[in-house]
Amino acid sequence: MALSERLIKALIMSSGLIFVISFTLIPIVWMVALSLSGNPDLLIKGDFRMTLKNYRDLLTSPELHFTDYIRNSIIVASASASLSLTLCVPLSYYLSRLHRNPTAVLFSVLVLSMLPPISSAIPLYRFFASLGLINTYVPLIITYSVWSIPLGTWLIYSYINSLPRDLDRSALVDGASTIKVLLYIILPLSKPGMLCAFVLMFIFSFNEFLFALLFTIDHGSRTVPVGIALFEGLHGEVPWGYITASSLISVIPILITVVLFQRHIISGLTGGGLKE
Amino acid sequence: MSAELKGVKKVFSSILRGRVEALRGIDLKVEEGEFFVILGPSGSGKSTLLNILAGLEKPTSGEVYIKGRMVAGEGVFLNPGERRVAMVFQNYALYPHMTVRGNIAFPLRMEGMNKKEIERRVREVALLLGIEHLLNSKPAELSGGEKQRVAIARALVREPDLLLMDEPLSNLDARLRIKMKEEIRKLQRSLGLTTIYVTHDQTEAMTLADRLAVMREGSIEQMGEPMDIYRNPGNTFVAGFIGNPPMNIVKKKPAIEEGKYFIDFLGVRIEVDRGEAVYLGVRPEDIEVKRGGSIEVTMIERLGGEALIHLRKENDKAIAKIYGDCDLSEGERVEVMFKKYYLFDS
Repeated sequence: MALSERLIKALIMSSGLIFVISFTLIPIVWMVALSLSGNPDLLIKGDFRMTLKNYRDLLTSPELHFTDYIRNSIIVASASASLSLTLCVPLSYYLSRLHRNPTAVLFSVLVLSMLPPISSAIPLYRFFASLGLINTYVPLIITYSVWSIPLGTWLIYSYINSLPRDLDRSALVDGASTIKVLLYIILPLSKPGMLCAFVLMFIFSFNEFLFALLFTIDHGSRTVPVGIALFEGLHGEVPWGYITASSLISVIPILITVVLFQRHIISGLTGGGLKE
Repeated sequence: MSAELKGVKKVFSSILRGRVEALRGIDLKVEEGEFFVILGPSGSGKSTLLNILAGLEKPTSGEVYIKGRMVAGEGVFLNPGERRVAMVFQNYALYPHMTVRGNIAFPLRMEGMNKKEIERRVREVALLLGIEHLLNSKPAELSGGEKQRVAIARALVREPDLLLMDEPLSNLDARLRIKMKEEIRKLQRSLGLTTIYVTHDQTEAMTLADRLAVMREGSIEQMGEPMDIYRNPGNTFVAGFIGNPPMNIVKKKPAIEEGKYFIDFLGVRIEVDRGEAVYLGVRPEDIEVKRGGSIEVTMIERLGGEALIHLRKENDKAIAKIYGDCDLSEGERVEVMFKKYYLFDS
């Protein structure tokens, strides 16, 4: 009785796991297969011809501009994550240590971040167009930085808030000014929280589509998601090989960032709750 | 005069708790080189008082002077760094990302001192506290006692005018606490450093203080030398707070006999001067216990060199403390005499 009960439990658990894993992995396997196939209709026609042509073309032929897209994405994502971090850290410090009612501010920031991005797209477009900045990095960097502030502030605030107040107080008595407390004590101690926020903001900016579509015109500033969506085949067909190969390549910078900072991301995300 | 507070009040306002009066007009003078202890239960305002001296809180009203210089008052407020005070925190507050050397050097770096002089001063103070072998360690690698020494070293390295200590021993185990207490006292004496020490532990207060102030609910209940306060407590709160085990305090309504008022406690009759209810206080060590009588011994706590005897007679209960061996047993009947007792109005 007990054995069969355990067996049923195990069966349900395993089938659930298999379903979830398949659900997640099948599209990726499908992408890998398509990117390595010379023929996009491999399932219908059943002829899979292994080739690295898609990858080679993407990385070598300048007319596809894929390397430009990758470069643009990395520049825009790094710059906006850095700018956002520069704004979030002092804001979080101020909210955590000096503001009387930080919860109200944090919630208003959160509510603002819930507005659909499209609501601000047209005014922003007109604004940047009037400054002649369309098809440059500037509108993307500014927009992404601002959109990442709520996420960054929440993360860094909760991290800084978990640091004992006596450290600040001790530094103040030791002769540090408020700015020096931030620079010498808070900043070094909130590194995990900051790195975590940086990575998440980098990923957000790297993957963003709507603003990138609106604010860019050509490969001069176009980022990867838009570049992939706008790939055109020779005779108007959808170039599945390029699309899947470029999607897989574009995961690499994010993967590297996440792997490099994995430890910090976990401690950054749990820092607020678990720190003594 | 090394530190002085004149009519210092502090009011905190919060949405949840409303208006809380943490300090209700504190007047206090601490002399040069004195070891002054502020004793009180939690919530009595003693830490707020220390924070006001350090400059971590602004007083709502009143004036604060350190070495004769006004550091807080009408239109004046000096930042903590400008006051030449140092503070040792309850949880040490060592900077976890810095080495012991970095921690001790921090106040000097903030002063903009040159590196050579910083190193010389750090070594000097590390030697004084016996932690020179720990200079390259991080706080996480240190034991509680070592952390405490580093925290004290960091406080002393600036050669402050006033040293503030906020329950610095409460995180240490009992044996280490006794050792550190002795070291702190020795160090303070040898350096002649004016120290204000906050604690809720009356034993610490009694053994360390040149003078002490007992605080309750934002006010100083009594101030003076420890033995003076022990011998002449001003009210039941101070009487109950100073002394271990605490004084036996009971409220009694006097009975009248032949025009005189008497109260009775454990069969001892005490004459009082009026008919209103009074508080009678007897310290456990002032109760003499003898065999025979009508008081029941309900429990005996043998502590080695001394014993606490729990006594009961009808509704009267008390604890007596006797030194040496105790040959009484539980359930035995005894009688008592008071070597000294106190009468309080409140």
